[in-house]
Amino acid sequence: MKVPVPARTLVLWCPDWPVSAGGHRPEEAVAVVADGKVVAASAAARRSGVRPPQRRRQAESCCPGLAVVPRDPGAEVRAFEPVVVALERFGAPVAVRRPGWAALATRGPTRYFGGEESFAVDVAGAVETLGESLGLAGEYRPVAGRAPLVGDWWRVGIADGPFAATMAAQQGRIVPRGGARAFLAPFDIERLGSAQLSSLLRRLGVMTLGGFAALEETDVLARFGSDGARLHQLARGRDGRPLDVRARPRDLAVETHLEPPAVDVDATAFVAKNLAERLCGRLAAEGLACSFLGIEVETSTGNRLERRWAHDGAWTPALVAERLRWQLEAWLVGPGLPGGGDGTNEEVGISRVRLVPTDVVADTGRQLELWGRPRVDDERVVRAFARVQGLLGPEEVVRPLLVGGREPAERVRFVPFGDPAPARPDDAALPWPGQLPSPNPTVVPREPYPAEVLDRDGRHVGVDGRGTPSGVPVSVTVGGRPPSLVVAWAGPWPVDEQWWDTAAHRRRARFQVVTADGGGYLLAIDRGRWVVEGSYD
Amino acid sequence: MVAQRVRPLVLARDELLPVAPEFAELLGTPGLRRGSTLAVVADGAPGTTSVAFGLVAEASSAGAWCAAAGLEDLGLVAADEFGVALDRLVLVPRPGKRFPTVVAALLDGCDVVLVAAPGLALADRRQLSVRARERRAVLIVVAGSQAAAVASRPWPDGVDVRFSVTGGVFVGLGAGSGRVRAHRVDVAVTRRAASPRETRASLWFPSPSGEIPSQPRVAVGKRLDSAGAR
Repeated sequence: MKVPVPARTLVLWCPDWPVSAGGHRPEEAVAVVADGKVVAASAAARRSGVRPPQRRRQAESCCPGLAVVPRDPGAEVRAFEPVVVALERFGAPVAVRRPGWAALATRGPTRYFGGEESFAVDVAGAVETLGESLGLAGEYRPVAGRAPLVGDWWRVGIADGPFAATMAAQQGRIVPRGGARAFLAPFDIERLGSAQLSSLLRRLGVMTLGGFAALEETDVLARFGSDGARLHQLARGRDGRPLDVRARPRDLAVETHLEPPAVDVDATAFVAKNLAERLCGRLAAEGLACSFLGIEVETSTGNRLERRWAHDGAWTPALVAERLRWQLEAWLVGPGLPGGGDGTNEEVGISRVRLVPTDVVADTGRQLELWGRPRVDDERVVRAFARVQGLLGPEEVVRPLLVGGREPAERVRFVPFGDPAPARPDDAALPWPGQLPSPNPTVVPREPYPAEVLDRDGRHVGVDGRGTPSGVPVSVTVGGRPPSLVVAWAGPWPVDEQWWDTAAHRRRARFQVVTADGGGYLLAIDRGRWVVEGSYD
Repeated sequence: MVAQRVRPLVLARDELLPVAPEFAELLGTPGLRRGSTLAVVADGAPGTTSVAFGLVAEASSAGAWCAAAGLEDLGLVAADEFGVALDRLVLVPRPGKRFPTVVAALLDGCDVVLVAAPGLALADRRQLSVRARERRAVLIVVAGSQAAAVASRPWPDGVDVRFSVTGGVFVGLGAGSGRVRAHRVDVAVTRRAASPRETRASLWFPSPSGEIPSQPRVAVGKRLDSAGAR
């Protein structure tokens, strides 16, 4: 197997980042908990025996006075951002696999900073100074007896490839080039992160990475497949995977001021073209593509309007200009810009236009797919719907998507046209007991509307806990129409949903009813009230 | 080579969108003619939505883009069962005051546009029929039973084929037993430029036996039965 030579990699590893991200010092006894299980614990808590993935109760019993904090993944990412920015200042692109772990290729910066060791120490210093703003300021002193690359809440290491560098970071070491295999050899086989593989190897008597690395490459490939072969390369210190570096967010927005403010469509046409060309030129120069385009407008009275446009192909200047023109037109010609009609005769115009590309990705020339099918490539169709979106707003032009559910209305989700749809949920194909058999009602109101069902004596028909109706339905009143006689009916079909949750629990009984005036309805009774869920129109 | 050069600008078959054979019989053409305006009107019985779904199902599954404007309560699970391709269906449920502009824009891009009749003034309707003809799109106006009052004189001009739903029967439901298995919809079809001008027929959704085809999305539309036609 031909594997590229692993690049020298520096890894910054923050052990128990969920704890540090919350501003907790290692000597506080803190455990971060998600779903009732410990996901991270501070050093003090670990000393008392708290270990992920213990249950919360167990953790509390081994460490009295343990502070239990719920996990906040968003905060973890936010807190890590300044750290990543600090690393990016060293000039090399930074790869972040999860908050608390960042890597960069050292090849360029090492020369500039005069060797790997001094570079690592510089990185360590930069990270440590951030501690203050994170509420983690400690007494980091690169003194003898303590590795200079280990802080209270972070560790830095350098080795060949990210895997070995992560191990090196745990010890705050710099592993010399070519020494990765020897360095990794004593580590436990579990460090590869594959429970399946490590348990199997353990039964075969292979306990360490060194033992695994000693196996023949061809034998590993034959016995463990390509996945195993990849891990084998890791164990041999040949982690040749390139770092998946993150693209730096850049300010790519373009804007223009209009003086005097534009009050009619013609005045904006030129502006739109110009702005669109600037935006596309800037994106192209960076080799980027965006999937959403935000249009922001400021009116002469200081109000702000904003709308986001999606397009599942490449944005060309013509497309951008067109969307922008439609949007401005819709705002100018439509219900009027806010801030007008205040008695003064002055017309409200547009004084500033700004285009903000979002969801920017490297332009690989690949088109987004919709529902796993070829994208909507018929430009005529896209333009028509985009035009309507300009008039009404993007969320008023929708595509239906079938999902799992019991009620006809539950089984449909709406996705604004042009938005990349979530992958078709596979629950649509699962059996949903209680789902209506085909044919389904052809008219399904968004909100079920009230109905009334009476028996022969003119009494309200109810359904008891055993699913037995209190009488035979004889007359039905639907919506605001006059009562109509029932000519055929069937039911009740009880639906008992989420009985395990007192708040969400719903019990309904469904009926199908055909009335003398020819109508066919799907009715449901929920807590004694009749509603129309659908009709067969 | 020569064939390419002497080919007429628009082939007749390009002018037709596929439609289920039962409908073809009623329409008098083997398909939905592009540029035409159809109306589906409730005349004392429900079934307009079924007829509308039935009309577009074949075209939709053959790749035509459909849009529905102003039809807020479409049963989309049923549409899927009829064979309407939901991934080529776009909904504008609440076009509001700009209904005519919205429909005009949809006609520019879609092959078939379903619109709710109420909410459009007479002058707008006429213009939209013209627009449909210009853009080679099919405009289908649906006037359901809720809109009975409005539908008394729906789309008087420019309607090429008008389906009036005059009656219907639900099959499969008894007194406290069974379930709706099939819906027979009786229609009176008025064609503007054909003879005989009026045809009566019964359409079955999904089929008279109420069998559910194993592959509903392809088969439902085809299982229409025009027993009792004329």
